[in-house]
Amino acid sequence: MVRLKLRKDGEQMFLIRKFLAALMLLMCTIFIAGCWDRKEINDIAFVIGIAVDKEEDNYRSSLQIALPGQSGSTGSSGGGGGTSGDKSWFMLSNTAKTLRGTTLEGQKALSRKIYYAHRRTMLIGEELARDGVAPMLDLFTRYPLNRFSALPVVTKGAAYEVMDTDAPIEKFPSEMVRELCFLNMRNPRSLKTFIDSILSDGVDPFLPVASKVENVPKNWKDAKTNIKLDGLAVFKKDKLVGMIDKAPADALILAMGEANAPEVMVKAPRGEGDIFIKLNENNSSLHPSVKNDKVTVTVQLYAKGVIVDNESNYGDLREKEILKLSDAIHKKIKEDIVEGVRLIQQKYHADILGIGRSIHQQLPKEWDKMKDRWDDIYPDVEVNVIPHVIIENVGVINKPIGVVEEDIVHD
Amino acid sequence: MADKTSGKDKSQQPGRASEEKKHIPLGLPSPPFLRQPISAVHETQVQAVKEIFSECSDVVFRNVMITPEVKGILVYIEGIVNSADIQEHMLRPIIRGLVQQRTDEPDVPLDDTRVELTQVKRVDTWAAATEGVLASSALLVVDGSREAWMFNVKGGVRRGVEEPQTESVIRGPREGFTETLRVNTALLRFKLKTPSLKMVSMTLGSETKTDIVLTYLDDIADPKLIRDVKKRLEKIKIDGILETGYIEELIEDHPYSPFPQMHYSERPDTVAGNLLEGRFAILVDGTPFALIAPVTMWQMLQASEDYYERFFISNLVRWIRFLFVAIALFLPALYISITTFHQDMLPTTLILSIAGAREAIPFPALVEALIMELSFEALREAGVRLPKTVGQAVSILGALVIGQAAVQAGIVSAPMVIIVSMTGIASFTIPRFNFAITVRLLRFPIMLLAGMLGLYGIVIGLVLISVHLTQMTSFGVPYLSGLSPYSKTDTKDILIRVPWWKMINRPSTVQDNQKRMKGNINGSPEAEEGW
Repeated sequence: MVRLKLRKDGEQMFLIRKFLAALMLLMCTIFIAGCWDRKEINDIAFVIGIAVDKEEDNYRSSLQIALPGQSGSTGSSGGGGGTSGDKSWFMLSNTAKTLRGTTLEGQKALSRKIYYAHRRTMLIGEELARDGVAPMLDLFTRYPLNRFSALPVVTKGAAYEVMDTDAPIEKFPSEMVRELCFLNMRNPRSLKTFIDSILSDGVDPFLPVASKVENVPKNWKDAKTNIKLDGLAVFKKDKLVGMIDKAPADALILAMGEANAPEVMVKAPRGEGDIFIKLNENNSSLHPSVKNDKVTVTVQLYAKGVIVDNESNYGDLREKEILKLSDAIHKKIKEDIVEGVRLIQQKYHADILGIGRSIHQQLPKEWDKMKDRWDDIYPDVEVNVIPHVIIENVGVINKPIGVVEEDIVHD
Repeated sequence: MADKTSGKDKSQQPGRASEEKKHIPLGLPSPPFLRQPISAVHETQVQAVKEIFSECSDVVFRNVMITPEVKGILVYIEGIVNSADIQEHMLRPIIRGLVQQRTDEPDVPLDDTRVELTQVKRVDTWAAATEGVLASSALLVVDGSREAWMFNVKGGVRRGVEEPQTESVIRGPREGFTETLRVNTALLRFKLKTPSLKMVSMTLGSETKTDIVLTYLDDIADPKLIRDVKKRLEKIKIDGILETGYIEELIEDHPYSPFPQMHYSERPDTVAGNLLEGRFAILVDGTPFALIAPVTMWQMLQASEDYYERFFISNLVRWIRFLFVAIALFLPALYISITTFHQDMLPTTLILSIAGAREAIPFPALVEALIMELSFEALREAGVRLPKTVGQAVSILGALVIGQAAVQAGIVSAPMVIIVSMTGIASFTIPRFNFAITVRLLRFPIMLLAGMLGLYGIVIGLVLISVHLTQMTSFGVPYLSGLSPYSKTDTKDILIRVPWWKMINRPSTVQDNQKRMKGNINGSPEAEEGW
């Protein structure tokens, strides 16, 4: 009896030991599987931004690589001062036949692994953009370390020149570009939206335009180079067809409902001078209609207005005058948008507002009929703008504060 | 041999264990007198006590005359008895009686009434007599009597009721248990004035003879549970019980689990609250801590003050605790995995400042984290063990050396210091110290996993812990009960603490769903008219 029990115990012990051994082996898999993609944070070169240009038949990519040691701690002279010595970043520029090739070239001169996950802006040189960006986009999207949310921007002239500015207010010029993009539009064009509009029917892509400027006139002392973001680069499919200036660009962004609290300058209905009205909470929608093969699109624009500046001698801004002012701003917005749309319609034949897409979405049957001819139809589409701006707030003063009572013009 | 003793124990009723104290020394050598009954001859008696207590300088032998002819000897241990009691209420009446006897009637036999003490007991074996003396009684053996008298003169200096050191509250009683069992039971009686508060006495430990009391509310606690715990307590065969920890480890469900399955408290109000929820408590003489079981993991994250403060603040505090438990367990691991595997997961500016801080650090993040965590644990341990006078020096050293100097010397990075201090603070927000230790302990394997496998490793760790927790029980009650297995009525006191007027039922895990509040209180305080 006792012996039997003992044997049983022995068997049990054996089983337990077997189980433990199996468990140990299983645990080993953790050790074996581990660490293969481990990389310490200071073995990585963080690419903050990239500037891509075309040089003859080659790509030139200029990587803006953060120098964490320089940029870091409190009180140090970080923030990229004027002298190139203590910049918080450095530029690594290479040429190669392919874009990936430039990275491989660059890696040969860099002791840390090039790491793209924090690349948040992508400057595309004008020349390259005119040749078409489609071939290089795959590199920016295939490997998951690349961010779809990176912001592509077209530069006037070579992209690396814009990348290589002082832009003293931010740590990195590419960071500056990114912040500017967010000021420019409510939902800045990301790689995702850009590629989406390249591939979609009835809409053409556009990107903001960045250029290099001086912060003060050149002959002043301590002049620094800076980045400016205005205007739009208009694409047809993946090729740049032209750049439009600030004024029509702002109107178009407003028509898209993407404007970030824009201020509209209106001539005072009576008297001398201008009044500035800020449009909060603006949004817009496109309403296409087709009659006898003639396409008309109505842009409905809703916004709340705040008077931020009255540089005229007009009025004490009571109800009647506010209504007059509304009319004035409606007229102004309408003119601006119509002019902007006409520019892209006539000059570039590019549908960046997505009028075609609105037809596709709202009148699918009509779209089927016209989608093959859309490029021909588009320049002749009639665009109506119906703005609805309600001026809600005139600020803390009514009358123009520096104008004597007798000079004020009332309605 | 072992079988025999356990068989004998089973036959005895555990409830009456205190009355019929067991005198079986567990195979230990003992003076021959211990096995004999008390003899009636004075000389033998004196010889016996002197031999039993040979070389015990704290034992006092005092010769007394009961009548001019009858001699006796009084034996007690100095320090654990109340000598005033002996003098006032034993010696004086005996001597006075002696004088009276000399003058009046010579032959009044000695009996209990001669002594002005409440608890008097007669014993007839040396073993019982010895045990009594050791348990603070005074022993009087008299010439010509085969029975000896035991007078309970328990006394001696012990700590009074003080504020509990380990569980301080802002709002709530300031009294804590002491080392004296009777004081502790009294403190409980003050709280629960009901005859259903049962206190079952037992003596554990062959050498220490520690008195323990199993206490529960008869009408609330599950009788099966009480039977179970009694059985487990009877099984304990050990030479000494010096703290509740001995009992805890001997009777818990999963001895190999890092998670505590009983909790301890030195607050009578906490114990009373748990008894009201159908749990039992074990009080042990000589320690101010009471063991409470069965427990769930949620209880480990609840402090007594949760129930004393208004429910808004209690809920806020409770959620802060949940958050910080997660931080205490995972923050260093997250830091390691993000800085070594998932550098893409942090905002650019944050990862750059971490990278900047780590630029000069020679160690990988895992090693850095281990250095810091271990030195923090060491600092904490030193802070607990060191004499109070040195404590300040340690804290200065800790703050300077671990905090600042290590960063300036480039051995660890500043973010790591922040992580470790956050983790340290987080582990102190856990109200139950034993659970906090578990969390601290588990942090290290999770850190290793994170160092090898990144976030995937953390998830593996989390899964392993969850699997372990779901299959765990504490005295038959699932460790996560309330959520797993889910019980709708129990959720009132797990993730949130509902206001008291909503706390109508007791936890369903511990006993049948009894109402703890009478009347039909439909979620509003006004409906209380009936009560």
